Amino acid sequence: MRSSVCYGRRGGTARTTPNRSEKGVEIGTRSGIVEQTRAPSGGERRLQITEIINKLRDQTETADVVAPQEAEKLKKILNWLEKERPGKLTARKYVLLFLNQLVLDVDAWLKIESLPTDAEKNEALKRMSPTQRYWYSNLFPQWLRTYDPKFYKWKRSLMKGEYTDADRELIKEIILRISRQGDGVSRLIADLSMATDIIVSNNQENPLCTQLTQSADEYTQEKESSWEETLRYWAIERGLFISYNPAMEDYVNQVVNIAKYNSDNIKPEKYQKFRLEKRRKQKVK
Amino acid sequence: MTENTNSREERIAQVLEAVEAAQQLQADWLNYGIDCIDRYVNVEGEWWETSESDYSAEERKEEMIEFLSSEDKVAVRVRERLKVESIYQIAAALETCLGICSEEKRTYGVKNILAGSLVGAIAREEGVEEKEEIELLDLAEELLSKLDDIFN
Repeated sequence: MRSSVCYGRRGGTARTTPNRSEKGVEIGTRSGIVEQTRAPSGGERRLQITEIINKLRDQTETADVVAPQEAEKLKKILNWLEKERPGKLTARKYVLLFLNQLVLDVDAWLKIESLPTDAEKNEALKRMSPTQRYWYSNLFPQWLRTYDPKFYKWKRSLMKGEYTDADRELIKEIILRISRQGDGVSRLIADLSMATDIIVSNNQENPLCTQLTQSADEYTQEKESSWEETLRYWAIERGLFISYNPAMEDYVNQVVNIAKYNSDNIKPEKYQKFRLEKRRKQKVK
Repeated sequence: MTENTNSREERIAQVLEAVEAAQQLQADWLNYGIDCIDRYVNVEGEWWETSESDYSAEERKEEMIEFLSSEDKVAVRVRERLKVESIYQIAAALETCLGICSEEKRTYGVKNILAGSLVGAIAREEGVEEKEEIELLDLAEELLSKLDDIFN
């Protein structure tokens, strides 16, 4: 049976001794980190799309008070949603994934923003995993307050059903096998706006924005050429780009090892590319 | 929203619970694929509802400005062609053209905007080479198709 990835919050409580799965991969056993196969949780109950939009409207009103600059992006999204036919939104599952991710991320971010003192905010952030801390204190609010030149295009691409999650299985494996199991952030916003499939961190607890792409992907060249520019636009200090060939034996191990090593070792202002070809991995200067 | 009457520990716990909920969705997506969203959203009964309002001229202009500012390839080509004009001017000209041109004349109207004749978009300017004319018509059609996607 395949293990499933699940994420518990970090810090604050003692960690349990890790086990080994059949594959020899260390996995945590504390409830909330890794569970065996189960149905997706889906939250308390299934929401209608209109309820999701209403929730985002309430959040936007709150954001307008606590962080007006960041609220502007939410207003734009709300404006878009209110213009679309609900049936058109629900027909595309990735649109629904994006909206659910957004509402949950805004909820967490607003709760952080609403903490009364900086000391309390710092304490809340300290108790998160390194990648979660990076996402909620840095990248996500940055996305909210900054003009996103890619958003318009990818929003339409989601609406047309053009998006696919080709690297999902690999992202899952990376999260399972990274030293701090279960620590990784993967969001549509990071993928589509920030050229980041997954934020990983290893022993040094230093988050690294990582882009994965299959070498046969017709857009690989395009992705590679604009990747560094995109990271710099979002003031992302370190980046890793890995193109891989899924037909290659052992590519998962290789990608995981590259991600682990580079998470600890890439210096600031450094953007490292790797191409995993049949014979050997090539480090691109 | 977090109420300040809660204790510090309760407030921090609420933050961490919210983070955990977001991570749970991520875990469900990674483990079960996109169909996991069926457990989060109830789509029954919403298929035939329509939006309450159509775009006003001003809203259409705003949408066009957003599109023309984006990284979409067609938008980039339009900007390159009309370097001197502001995106606002291009959007305003397009809005006017779409408002007054009949269906069959739209492509030519948009083409003339792209040729740089923002004033009197219907009027044809002399001196455009045939090759450029074809390129302009192609771009005009692609632009119209994008705008059609946006508004219909």
